[in-house]
Amino acid sequence: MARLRPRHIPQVFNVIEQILSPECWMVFLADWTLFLQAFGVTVMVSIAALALALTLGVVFGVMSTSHFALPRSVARAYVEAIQNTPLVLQAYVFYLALPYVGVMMGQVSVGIFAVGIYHGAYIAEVVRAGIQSIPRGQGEAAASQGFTYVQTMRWVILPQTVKIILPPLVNQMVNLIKNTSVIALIGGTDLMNRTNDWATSGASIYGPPFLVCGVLYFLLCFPLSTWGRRYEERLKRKDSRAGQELKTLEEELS
Amino acid sequence: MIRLSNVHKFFGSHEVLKGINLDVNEGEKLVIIGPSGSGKSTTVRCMNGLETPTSGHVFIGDTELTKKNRIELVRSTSSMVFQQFNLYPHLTVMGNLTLAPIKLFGKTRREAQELARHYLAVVGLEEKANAYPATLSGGQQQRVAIARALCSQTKIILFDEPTSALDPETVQEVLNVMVKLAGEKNITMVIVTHEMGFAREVADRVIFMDDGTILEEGTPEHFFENPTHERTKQFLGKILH
Amino acid sequence: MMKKLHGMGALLLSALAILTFTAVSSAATLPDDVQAIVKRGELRVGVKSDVPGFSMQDLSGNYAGMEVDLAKKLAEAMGLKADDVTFTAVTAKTRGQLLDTGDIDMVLATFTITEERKNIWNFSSPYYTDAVSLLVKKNSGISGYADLVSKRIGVAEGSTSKDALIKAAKENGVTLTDTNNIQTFPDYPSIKAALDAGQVQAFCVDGSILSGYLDPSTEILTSVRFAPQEYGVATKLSNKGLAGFVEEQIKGWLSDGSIDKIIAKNGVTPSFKK
Repeated sequence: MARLRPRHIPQVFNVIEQILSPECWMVFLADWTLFLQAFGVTVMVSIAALALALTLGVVFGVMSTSHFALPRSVARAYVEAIQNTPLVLQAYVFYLALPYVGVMMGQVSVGIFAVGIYHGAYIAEVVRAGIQSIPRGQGEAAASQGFTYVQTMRWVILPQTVKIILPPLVNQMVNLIKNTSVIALIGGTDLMNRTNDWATSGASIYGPPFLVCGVLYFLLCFPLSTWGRRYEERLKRKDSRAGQELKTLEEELS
Repeated sequence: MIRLSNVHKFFGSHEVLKGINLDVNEGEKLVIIGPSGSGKSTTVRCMNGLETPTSGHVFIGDTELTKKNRIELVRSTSSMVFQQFNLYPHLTVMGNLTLAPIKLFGKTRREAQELARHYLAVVGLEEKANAYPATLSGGQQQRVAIARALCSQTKIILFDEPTSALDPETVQEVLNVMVKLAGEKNITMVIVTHEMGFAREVADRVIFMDDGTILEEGTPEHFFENPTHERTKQFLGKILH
Repeated sequence: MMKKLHGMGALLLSALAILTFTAVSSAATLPDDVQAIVKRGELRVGVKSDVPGFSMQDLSGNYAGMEVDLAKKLAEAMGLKADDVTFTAVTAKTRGQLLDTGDIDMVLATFTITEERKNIWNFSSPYYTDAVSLLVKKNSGISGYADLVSKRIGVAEGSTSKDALIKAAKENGVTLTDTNNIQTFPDYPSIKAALDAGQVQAFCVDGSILSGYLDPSTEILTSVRFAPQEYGVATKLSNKGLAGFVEEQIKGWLSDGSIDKIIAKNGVTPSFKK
C-alpha cells in the first residue's frame, strides 16, 4: 500500500489556508502517485466510454432517420429511456442489478458501459439532428444513383454531417469526461473517488487534493471545449452553408 | 422503356397525380411542360422511385418498379439531374463523378477516373476535376451533375427542371450540353422544363400537364404551332410572350 | 422534636445552599463556548442517521440511539432541555468539515479516536469501544484473513477501517492491497448493496455499525475482529472550554454507570472486550 502517513500533520483547518500552506502541499504531494493512478483510471474510462458512445451514437442516430418504423422505434426507445433517467441510476443498474442476472462487471467496466451508453443516447440525437440538417436533395441524389440507405449514410450523408456535428459532439465529450466521476459512487478508484477518500481520511487536508482534482479535470476538458468553440466560430464565419446547417442543428438540439 | 400505368399520387389528402398513363420509348427525348404544381416533377420522380405512387404501376423495361427492386433497378437503368444540382459538397468534382462507379459499379479508381475525365470533357469542364462544388458557378455545377449522371452509363436520364435554379446567363451553357446529349440515339431522356426553345429543338414528343393529368401530347410542331386545348394555348401564350 | 425539626431544617437549608451553590457555580464556571450554546438555547449535534442502536433516523425524522441519548444528556447538563438538541445527519466524510465550519457544536457519530484526529479535533474519553469486523454472505466460504486474498472488500470513504484491515491482515500473515482488495464507497448502504449484488465479498466497518446491516443472508465474522476503536465526542479544536465540559460529564457518567445504562437501553452491548 502506497499510503504514506505523514509524521507531522499540519494544524491548518481552513481550506483556503490549506491551499496556501506549503506544509499541506508536502503531505498531499507525498501521495501524488495515488492521484496519478486515479487520474489514469479516469482517462482510460473516458477514452473507452467515448469510443462506445460514438459507435452507439452513430448507429442509433442513423437508425432514427430510417424510413422503417422498427429501427426508428428502437432508436427512439433507447434515446428516451436513457435521457429521461439519471446516470447514477443507470450506473447502479449495471453495478448492482446486473449481477442478479449473472452479469458481473467491475467499476471500470460499469463506467465504460454506463457512461458510454448514456452519452451514446445524446450523441445519437446529435447525429440524428445532423443527418436531418443535411438537405434532402443529398439523399435523393444518392438514391437516384442507386445507393442503398446504408451506403448513402456512409458515403454521402455522414461525411457531410461530421463537419457540422463536431461542436455539439465536443460538448458531449466534455460532459462524458466529467460524468465518468459517477463511478466514484460505486467504489471505482477514479480521480473523484480517490480525492474524496484521501481528503477525508487521516490528515483532513481538503484544499490541495480538491484543487488538484479540479485542475486535472479542467486540463482534460478545457482544451477540448476551447477547440470545439473555435471550430464552431470559424465554421459559422467562413462556410456559409455548413454554418447555416450548424445553426439549425443547434436550434434543433436546444 | 418506361411505362406509367394509371398512376395516382396523394400528398396527404391532396391528389397531385390523377391517373397518369404514359409510355416513354427507348431513345426517346420526352419533354414535360406545364404550370407549377401540375405534377410534372412528381411524374418524373415516380420514374425512378423517389416517389412511390399511391396506386398504379411503374414499369422500367418489362420490370415493375417496386420498393424491393427499386435500388437495383434504378442503379442499372436510370440517373437523374436535379433542379438544385445536389452535388456532394464534401467531394471534389472528381469525387462526385467517381463515387457511384467505384462503390456501386465495381470499377477501379483508375477506370472510374478515366470515365469521369471522358464525361467532364463532354460537358467541357476537364479543368475543374479537382475543384469543390462550392467554388463553381451554378451552370458549372449543373454541368458536373450531368457528367455525374452520365458516369452511371444508364440508358435513361431524368431531368427535373435542370435550369430553373440557374442565373439567366448560365442557362444556355447547360442547355447546350443537353442538346449535345440529345444527339445520342440510345439515351432516353425525360426532361421537365420551362425552356420552350430547347423543348422545341430536342423533343421527340411534348407532354402538357395540368392539375395532375396529361392534358395534351404531341410533336413539338403540333404543340407550338397548333395546340388543341384552350388551357395549353393559355399556358404557351403566357410563357412564350 | 424541636431539635429534630431544627436538624431537618438545617439539612434542608444546607441542601438548598448546595443546590444554589452548584447552580450558581456551574453557571458561573461554564466556559464561554458552552455559555454561548446555552444562550442560543440550542445544542447542535452531528450524528449518524443510519446506524441502528447508535443513531438512526426514523421515517418521521426523529433520531434514536445511544449517541442521541448521550447528546440529550449533555444538553441537560448544560441546563438546556433534551428537546433543545438539533441533530444533523453526518457521514464519515462530512462530520469533520461540519465541525470545522462551526455548523455543529459536537459530533457523536461513531467517531473513532485516533492520534491523528486528536491533532485536528478535541475528543472526549471513549464512551464506547468497538472492533472492526467483516460482514459476509453466509455461503461466502470466508472464515478468516487467508480467505480474503482474492476477495474484494468494501469500505467507506474517509474511514479508518481500510488501513486497520490491511494492518491486521498483515499481522496474520496475509497481504491485502488497496488496489486489489479494497473498494471505497461513499456510504454504508452502498457497500451493503454491493455486497448483496456480489460486487464485494465483504463489508468492513465497526462491528456496531455492521450489526445494523445484519440480515438472514449475512453474518459478522467472529474470527476477524481487529483494531479496537474507541468512540469519543468530538468538538472543534478551538472550543477547549466545550471539550473540557464534555469530558467532565462523560467521565462522570462512565464512573457512575449512566453510560452503561444507555448502552443497555439501546441494545448495543459491545462485542469487543479489552
